Amino acid sequence: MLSYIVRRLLLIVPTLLGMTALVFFIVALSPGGVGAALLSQEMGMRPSEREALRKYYNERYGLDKPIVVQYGRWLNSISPIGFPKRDDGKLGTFRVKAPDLGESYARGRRVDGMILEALPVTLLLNAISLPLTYGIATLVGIYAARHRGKLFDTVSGSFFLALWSVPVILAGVLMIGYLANQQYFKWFPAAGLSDMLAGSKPFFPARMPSGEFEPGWLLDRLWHLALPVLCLSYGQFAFLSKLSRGAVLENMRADFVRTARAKGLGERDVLFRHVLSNSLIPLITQAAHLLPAMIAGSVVVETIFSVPGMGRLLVDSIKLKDREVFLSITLIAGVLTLAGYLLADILYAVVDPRVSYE
Amino acid sequence: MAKPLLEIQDLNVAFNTERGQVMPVRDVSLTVYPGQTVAVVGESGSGKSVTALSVLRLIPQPPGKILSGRIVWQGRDLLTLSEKEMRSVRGGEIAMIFQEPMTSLNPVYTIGDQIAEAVMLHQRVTSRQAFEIAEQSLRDVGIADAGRRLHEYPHQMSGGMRQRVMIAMALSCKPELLIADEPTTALDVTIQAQILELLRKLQRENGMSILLITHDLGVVAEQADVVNVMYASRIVESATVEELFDKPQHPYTEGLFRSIPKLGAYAERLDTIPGTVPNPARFPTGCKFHPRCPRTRAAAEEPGRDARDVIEVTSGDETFRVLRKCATDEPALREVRPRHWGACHLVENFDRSPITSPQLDHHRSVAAVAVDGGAQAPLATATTAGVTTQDLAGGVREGAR
Amino acid sequence: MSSQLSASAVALPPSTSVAVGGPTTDSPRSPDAPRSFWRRALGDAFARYGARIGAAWVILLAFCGVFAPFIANTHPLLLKMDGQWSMPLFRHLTPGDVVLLFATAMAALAYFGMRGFRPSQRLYIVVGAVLLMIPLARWFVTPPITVNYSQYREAEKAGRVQYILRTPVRYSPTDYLRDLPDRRLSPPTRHHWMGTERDSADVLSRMIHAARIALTIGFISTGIAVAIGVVVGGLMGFYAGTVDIIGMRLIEIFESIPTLVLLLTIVAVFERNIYLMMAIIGLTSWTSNARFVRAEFLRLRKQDFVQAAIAAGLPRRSVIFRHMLPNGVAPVLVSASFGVAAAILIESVLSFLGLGLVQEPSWGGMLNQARNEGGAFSWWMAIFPGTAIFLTVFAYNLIGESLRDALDPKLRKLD
Repeated sequence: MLSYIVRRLLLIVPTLLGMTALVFFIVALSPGGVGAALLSQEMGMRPSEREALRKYYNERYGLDKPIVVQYGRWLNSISPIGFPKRDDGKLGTFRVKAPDLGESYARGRRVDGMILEALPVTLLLNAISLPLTYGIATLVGIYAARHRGKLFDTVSGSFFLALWSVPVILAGVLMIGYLANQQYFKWFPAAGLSDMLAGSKPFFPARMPSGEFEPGWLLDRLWHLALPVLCLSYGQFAFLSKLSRGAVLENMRADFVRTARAKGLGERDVLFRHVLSNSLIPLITQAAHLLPAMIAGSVVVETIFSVPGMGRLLVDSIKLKDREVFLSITLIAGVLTLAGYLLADILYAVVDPRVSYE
Repeated sequence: MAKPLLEIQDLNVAFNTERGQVMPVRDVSLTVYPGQTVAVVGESGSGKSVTALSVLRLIPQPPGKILSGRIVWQGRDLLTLSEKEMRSVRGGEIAMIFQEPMTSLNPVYTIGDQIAEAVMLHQRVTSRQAFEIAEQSLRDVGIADAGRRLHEYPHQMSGGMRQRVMIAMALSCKPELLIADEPTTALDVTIQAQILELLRKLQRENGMSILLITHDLGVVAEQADVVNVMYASRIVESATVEELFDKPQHPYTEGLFRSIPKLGAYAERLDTIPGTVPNPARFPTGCKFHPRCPRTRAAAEEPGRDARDVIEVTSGDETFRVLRKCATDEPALREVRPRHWGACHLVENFDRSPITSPQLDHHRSVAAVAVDGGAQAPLATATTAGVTTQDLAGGVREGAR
Repeated sequence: MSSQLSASAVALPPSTSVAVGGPTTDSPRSPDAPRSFWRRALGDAFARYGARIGAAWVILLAFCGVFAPFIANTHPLLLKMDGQWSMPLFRHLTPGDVVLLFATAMAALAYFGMRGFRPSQRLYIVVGAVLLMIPLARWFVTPPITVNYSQYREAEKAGRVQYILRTPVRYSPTDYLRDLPDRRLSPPTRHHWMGTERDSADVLSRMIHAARIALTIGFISTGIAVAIGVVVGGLMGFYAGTVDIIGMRLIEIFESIPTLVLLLTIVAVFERNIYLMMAIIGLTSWTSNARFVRAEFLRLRKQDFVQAAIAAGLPRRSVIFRHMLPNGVAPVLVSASFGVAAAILIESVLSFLGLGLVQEPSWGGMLNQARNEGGAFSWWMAIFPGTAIFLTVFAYNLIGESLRDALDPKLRKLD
C-alpha cells in the first residue's frame, strides 16, 4: 500500500506539470498575454502605479521573454521547491521554499495572505456540511431498507433526483428572497458570517444583567451559517441519499444477506451488520470527491450570501481582473482535485477488503 | 417406521407479480426421515428452490406468500412459529447452503467472523470459543491450515473452498437437517465430486438428513435415497432412488432419462423433450405436461380410440391430438406402484390407485444406480460428478469408490 | 458539484418471454424474435415515466428554441398599416433563425420521408444541407440593423392599423418598451404574463428565446465532449500499450481542473464568446466519456466477434466503427445526457455571476435580477427562469437515469 501511494505521488508530478502548464498557457495566450493587466484602460492608474506594476510583472515573469521562460519563472515562484529569489535578485540553490503566490495589485496585498483568510471560511462551510449530509444520507439508507416496496421506494428515487437537479442559484436566491428578507420572513440574516457587533459579544449564550437574552457569538455565527450550509448541502445530500438508498436496496437482495438470514440472524442485525457495512462503501469513497468540488461548489453560495470564502474571492478577482489571485486559486483547485482522487483511491482500499494495490 | 423429521404437507406458495398471481409451489407434499437424503429434481422454474426456501420461511413476504399447508418439523408446524422462534430454528436445527458460493459470503468480513457469528447465534459461548469451534468446523470440511484461513476474506478463496466454508458454517451448530440448494451447480466437475463426497461423509458422521435440490440426475444417482420429481410447481413423481431409475412412471421423468446422452450409443441427434417449460403465469389447463407429452399423443392416435376421448390442442406452431382428460384434468399424485407415486392419467391402473401421502423411510442399498436398468452405464450429462468409469457390464454396480 | 454518476435501484419489470408449449425443436423461428439491442434498450428507456416526462419537456424547449421568433415577437406576422400590407416578422428574421428553421425542416423530412436512403445517408444529407445553408443564410438574410419596436403600438394607438396578426407573446426579447415608460421590473400583469426585467424587457419573451441558448450550449458542448472522448478513448482502448499510457496522463491532466473554475479563468482573460464557452465546456468534460469508451473497447477487444472481424481481414476502420463502436457507446449515451444537464447548469451559473453572454437572453442572467438593492426581492425574476433551469436539468437527468437503467445488464434479471 505504501509503495502504491509513493507511486501515485510520483505519477502526480507529470500531471501537475501538465495542469499548471495548461492553466498558465491559457492565460499567457489570451489577448495581451501575461502582462495584459498593464494594458487595461479601466484601471485608471497613475503613472507611478503603472510603473510599479510593470516592475512587478517583469520581475515575476519577464515581460519580454518567451512564453516558456515566463512559465518556468512562474512555476518556480509558486512551487514549494525551487530556486528561491535572494534579495540581490539572483537565484539561490534548489531547495524547499515557501511558495510565492504573488501580489494582488487590485487590492494591494499579497495573495497568500488573502487565500489564508478565505480558505478557512470555505473549509468551515464544507466541514459543517459533511457530517450533516452523511448522517442524513445514512439514515435515509436505513429507512429505505426498512420500508422496501412501499411508497418510499418508488417515489424517493425521483425525489432525490429532482432535489439534486435544483440549481444552486435558484435555491440560494429563493432562500435569501423568502427567508432572509424584510418582505417575507426574516428568520435568517442575509449576509456575512457574523453580526457586525459579534466580536464584542460573549461566546456562549448568556443572560445579561438587564434580563435580556444574549445569543452570544457562537449562536450568532451558527445562525449566519445556517442558510449557506443548507444551500451547499442539499445537492450533496440528495446525491448521497440516492446512492445510499440504491446501495442498501441492492445489498438487501444480495446472496450473502440470504445466507445471513438462513443462519438465523434477525432483521436488525442483518441490516446493521451485513447490509450497511457493504452499503457504506460507495458513500465513504464519495467523500474524497468532495475535495475537488469544494471551491467550485462554494462559488455560488458564497456570492449569494456574501460569505468571504474562496469562491467569492475567485469571482471577485475575476471581475477585477486580478490575475495573480485567480491564477493561484485555479491552481489550488487543481491540486485539491488531484489530492482528492488520491485520497479516494486510498479510502477505497482501506474500506473494501477486496481492493488491493499490490 | 421411524418418525419423520420433516413433513411438508400440501404446501402452496404464491407470488404477486406484475402479471398477476403466480404459484411456484402447488400442493407439494414430501417427507424426510432421519439420516435420509431426499432429492427434489426439476428444471429451472419448476418450483424446487421456492419449496426449499419455504421450509425456512426465507421467501420475501411482500411479493411472496405462503397460502396454505403445513411444514411439520419435529412435531411443530414451522408456519405457525413466531419470527423469533423461527430464528432459532434457522441455522440451529435446520441449515441451508446455496448455489452460489461466490456471492453467498459477505465480502467485507473474514470467514472466521462469519462462521463465529453463526455459532454465537445458537450456542452460548464466548467469542474466543466460537472461533475455536469455527476453526474445528473448517478442519471438518477438509480445509487445511484452518487457523490461517479463519482470518481470510472470501475473495481470497476459490469457489470450491468457499462452498466448503458454507458447509462448515451450516454445520457448525450441528443441525439435524441440511437443505442444499444446488450446492454443486456452480462448481467445476472435479470439485463437485469432492463436495458431494464431503456431504456424504458429514452425513454419516453426524447422522443428519439432507434435502437436496438439484437438476442433475447424476448427482441424484450418487447421493439420494428418495427422489421427488417436480414439474410446473408440483411433484409429479416420488419414489426410492432404485425404483425411480428402474421404472420411471411419469412421461416427464422418462423424458429426462432418455435425454441423457449414452456413451457408445450411435445417434445422429440427442433426444430431448420437445417444447419448453410452461410459463407459471400462463399454465396450460389439465396436466401441465400435456403439450409436450409423447404418451398422450400416442394414446390419442391409437386405433380404436373413442373420438370423444380425444381433443385437438394447439401449442406454439403445432396442432395435434391428445387425450381429453390429459388436457382438462390435472392428475393427482397417486401411489401407482408400491412405494412409488406418480401423477399421470396414462399410468396403469391410475384411476384405482390410492391418493396417499408419499412417505418413504428408505435408505439406498446400492453405491450407484444404473440408468435404464440395462446395459448402459450411469454416465449422465457432462455435469455428473464422480462417475469416473463406466461399467459396460451394466446393471447395478456395487463397490468402493 | 458532485459527480453525475449516482446509483439507482429502481428495477425494471421482470421480463417473461417463455411461450406456453413453444414450437418443437424443428421449427426455424420463434414467434417473437428479439428486437435489436438498440431498439429494445431505447424502447425500455423511454417506456418509463421519467424519461417520457423529460423527453416531453425537451421537445417543448426545442420547439420554443426553433420557433421562438414566431412565438414571442413584437413584429407582427401580418400587418395592414395605412392601407399597406406587410409581414414585418419575416423581414426581421436573423440568419440564425432561418438556419434553425431550415435544419428542423430537414430533420423532419429525413425522419419521416426519404425512404429511399439508409439512416446514415440521411444524416449526411441533413448535415450537409444545413452546413450549406449557413453561409447562404448569412449572405441573403439581412434584417435591418436598427429596429423600432414601438412603431406598431404607437400606430395602433393612433388608429392607423387596419389589421394586425400578432404572435402569442407580443414582445421581442430586446424590446425595451421605449414607448411605455415605468414598466421596469414589474410583477406579472395582464400585459406581461411573467413580468418585466430591469430594462423593461418582457420576461416570458426572453425566457422563450433563452431556451435556444440553453439547448445550443447543452448540445454542442456535449457533442464536443462526446466526440473527443470517443476518439481518445477508442484509440486508447483499441491500441492499448503506449497510446494508453499517454492517454491516461492526458485524461488525468484534464480531469484535475474543475470545469467551472477553469471556465471562470478563461472568461476572465478572454472575451465572452459563445463558441469559446462551448468549446471549453466540451474540452473539460470529455474525460469521463474517454474512460467509458476505453473500458468498453478494452473489453471488446478480447471478444470473439472482434477477433473474428480482424481475422477476416476487415480494415481497422470498419472494425472500429461498425463492430466495436455500436457496442461500446452505451455508457457514453448516459453520460451525454447528464452532460447536457451539467453544461446548461454551468452556463446559467456564469450568467448569474454576470460573466456570461451579454446580449443573448439567459435564464441564469435573469435569475440574477431577482436580488436588488436594499434587499427587495423580485420573485418573478427568480421563480420563472429558475424553474425553467430546474425543469431542463431535471429532464435531462431523468432521461439519463432511464437510459442507464435500460442499458444496465444487471437489471435485466428477474427480481
